[in-house]
Amino acid sequence: MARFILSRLFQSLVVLVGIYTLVFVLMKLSPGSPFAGEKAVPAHVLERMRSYYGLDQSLPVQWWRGLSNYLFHLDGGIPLKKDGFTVNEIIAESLPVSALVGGVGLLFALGTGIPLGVFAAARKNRVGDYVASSLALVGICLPTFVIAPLAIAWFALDLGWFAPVGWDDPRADWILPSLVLGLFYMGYIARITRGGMLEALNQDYIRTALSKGLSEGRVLFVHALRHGLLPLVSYLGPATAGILAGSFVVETVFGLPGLGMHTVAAARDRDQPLLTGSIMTYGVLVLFFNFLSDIVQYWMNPRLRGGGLAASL
Amino acid sequence: MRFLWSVRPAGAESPPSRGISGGMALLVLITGALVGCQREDFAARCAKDGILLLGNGSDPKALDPQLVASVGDSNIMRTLFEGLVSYDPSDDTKLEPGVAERWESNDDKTVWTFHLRSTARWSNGEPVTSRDFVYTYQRMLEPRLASPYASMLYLLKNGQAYNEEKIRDFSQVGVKAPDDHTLVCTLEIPAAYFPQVVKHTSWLPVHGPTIERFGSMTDRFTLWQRPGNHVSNGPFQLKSWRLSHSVVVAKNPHYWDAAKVSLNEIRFYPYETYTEERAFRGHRLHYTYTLPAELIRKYQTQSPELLRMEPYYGSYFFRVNVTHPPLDNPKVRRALALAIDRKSIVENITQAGQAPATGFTPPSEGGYQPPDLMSFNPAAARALLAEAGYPDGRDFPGFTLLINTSEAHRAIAEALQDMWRKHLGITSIEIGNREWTTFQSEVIDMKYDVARAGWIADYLDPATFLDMWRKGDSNNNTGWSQPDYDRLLREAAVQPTVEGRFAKLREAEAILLGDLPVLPVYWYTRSYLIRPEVKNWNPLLLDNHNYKYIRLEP
Repeated sequence: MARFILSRLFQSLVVLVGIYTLVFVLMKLSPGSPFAGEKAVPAHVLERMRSYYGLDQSLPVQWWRGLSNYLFHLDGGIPLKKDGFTVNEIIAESLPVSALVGGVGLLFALGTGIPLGVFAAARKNRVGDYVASSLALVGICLPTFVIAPLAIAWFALDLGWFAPVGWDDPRADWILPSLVLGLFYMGYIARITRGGMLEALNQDYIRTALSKGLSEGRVLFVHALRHGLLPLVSYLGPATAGILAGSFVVETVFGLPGLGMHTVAAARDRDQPLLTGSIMTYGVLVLFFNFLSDIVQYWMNPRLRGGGLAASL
Repeated sequence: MRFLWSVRPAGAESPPSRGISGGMALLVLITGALVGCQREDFAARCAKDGILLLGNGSDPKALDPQLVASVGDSNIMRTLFEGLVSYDPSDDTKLEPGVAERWESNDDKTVWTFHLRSTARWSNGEPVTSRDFVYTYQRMLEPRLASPYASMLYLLKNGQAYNEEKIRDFSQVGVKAPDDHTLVCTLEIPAAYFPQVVKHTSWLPVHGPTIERFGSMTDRFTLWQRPGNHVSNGPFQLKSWRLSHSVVVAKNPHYWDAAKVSLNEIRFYPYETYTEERAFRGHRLHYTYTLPAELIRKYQTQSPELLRMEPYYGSYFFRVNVTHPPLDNPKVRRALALAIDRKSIVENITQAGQAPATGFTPPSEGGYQPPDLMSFNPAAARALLAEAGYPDGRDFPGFTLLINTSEAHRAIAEALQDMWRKHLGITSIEIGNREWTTFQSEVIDMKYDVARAGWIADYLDPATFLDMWRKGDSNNNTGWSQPDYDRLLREAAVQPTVEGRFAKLREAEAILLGDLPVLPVYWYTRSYLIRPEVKNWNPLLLDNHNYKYIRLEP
């Protein structure tokens, strides 16, 4: 196990350096300057700005300077378009907002999506299945930018249960965005659960369990679910990272100070340090949750345990 | 439907608690109970407490007047800082004394003396002196600060030379403090409009000792901008700054005219347009920064008392790259300009009461009036195109109409495309679409044929619209120049009277509109929503409100 963790850590480091480099290259290749504005900035001022931010140095030097700051100081530097905060501060301030909204959204999605999927699988090709599957499809197909304004119009503006925008009331302002964000994931989770459950229900050991006279509920939730959730667990690795790192649409529509908004703004503004910081954060989340999902799969799937985890991956 | 906690008779069976619907209902009920208080009118409650809630479009780039550039950032700067001259609450053309009680100039308007009031204080209680202004203007022009708006101070003698490092000794730059309460500005050119210029954000003073406590004069990034550290001299001082959340400023007790300041607090929110409109409907804002064009009609019919549409000192136009054939031919440019039905564009597309541009510089009441040279004349346009060698658009090589990604710009570009096809027979025009940053760099590098542009004035004077078309101006970007045009601008600058100056500028603008490196479309209006509690929020051409006069009457 220790060997597995160590090798994973090393792999992660390589992946992160790769991500850093990829963002660096892509940003250098993209047209436009972070300092361009509707009003032209004189050339000598532009030059000074570039040298202030070290953009006049050679590309390898820039690459290594940013990377070494990450490696040795965990420091993302200062953004090009926001003069008041460091990259680390921006991430530290905005990630918790995104993570809270995403975390609650994910719990909501799991809490509704799994039962929906199990129910659909148990009622395969019957009315219940069609209703549940349609519901899941609606969740997937209706884009967040449609659902979010509608949810605000109904629950905030008409019913007055929530504030329509903003992040001021710690008791309430996360609820509506979380549910909207969760709705999308609910659909996916229900469909994946249904597929996994259907496969599980076809296994011999299910027939054995049923023939022993166990109740349908027990067979579904104890025997089949453990196997049926495996595809979901591997989906949840990257999905969790994505949902916690923030949704640009949800944050924009609800006016939340989250990380998703900064990521998109940084890409638009060619703010390389900020973009690198938020993509690296996302990368760390993906690596961490993939790792977690591997561990959970190992624990859930007896077949993996037989051969040893490291060997099977 | 029954719930877990519903009262049931003794001995009755447990209520069914299975199923998703029960769980959902529970969740909704709990959250409903938690947030039952949301229904109240937040904006009305804030109005009672003297807290003004403003939509401001986006996050500030900085809270340092020497580093900001956007309109939204300037709004925040105007609450925190006060310049030598300030903004009149109801008339842009008037000058309101700020830190300077009075000012005068020499006869040829090249030397301006400002007399500072002795009561002006920083938010830490220290007096505001003329030395603070000298420090600020040096900082603004320091090459190492690389202020994006440094060119605003090129009016000062040797300002440009210092900024471009041609001279190193700041004492040669035209700003001096003979004593603590006198500031003398010597200008590069005569400028009767100088007091209008010093209202601008880039001329607001900063507190040197505070800046140096957290870094050096030329550090762009230091902690001085943080709440608690920030020192300013305006009617308000910084209370909090949360990225993508809000900037909150509170009344500054040390402000010399604090008795006149009515509001206790102003909160600036960076909501995006549609979010902001929802926030307004949900009573979270007193004022929206903008209103999407498609919602204007709805408010006009349903709640016209909340909607305002006012002229704004800006021009919407297209730049023409006069180095690209066939656009190098003035007759072609003129034909294109005459074939634009501007009235139809403002009535059917923009729909916010914009005025069809009859010149380039927008007119200002009691001020400069541009020559009336732009009209819709398809017959003349066709004739000109034929003269240029493309009768009925035959063999016209075509070009790309460049816009930055936006539905509104696309609609206008498509209208132009259609008008040129209908009136001139040109079928070979394509619309090129770039996201903002790429768009800007293609314009600056002149890698375009015809490109959308908008220009909002920095100060209330036609110079802000006309200076940019001089040869070599960094905002020109069209490849066009005309010695007569540059000469007329130079002559205008030395005219002793305002009328004489405007006459010269009109002559210059007529040259611009004859040669047309630009295709004017309309003059801006601002549309926004405002609640009736907000008082003294008057229509202003530059939209630069002096927040000390704004009141809330619940």
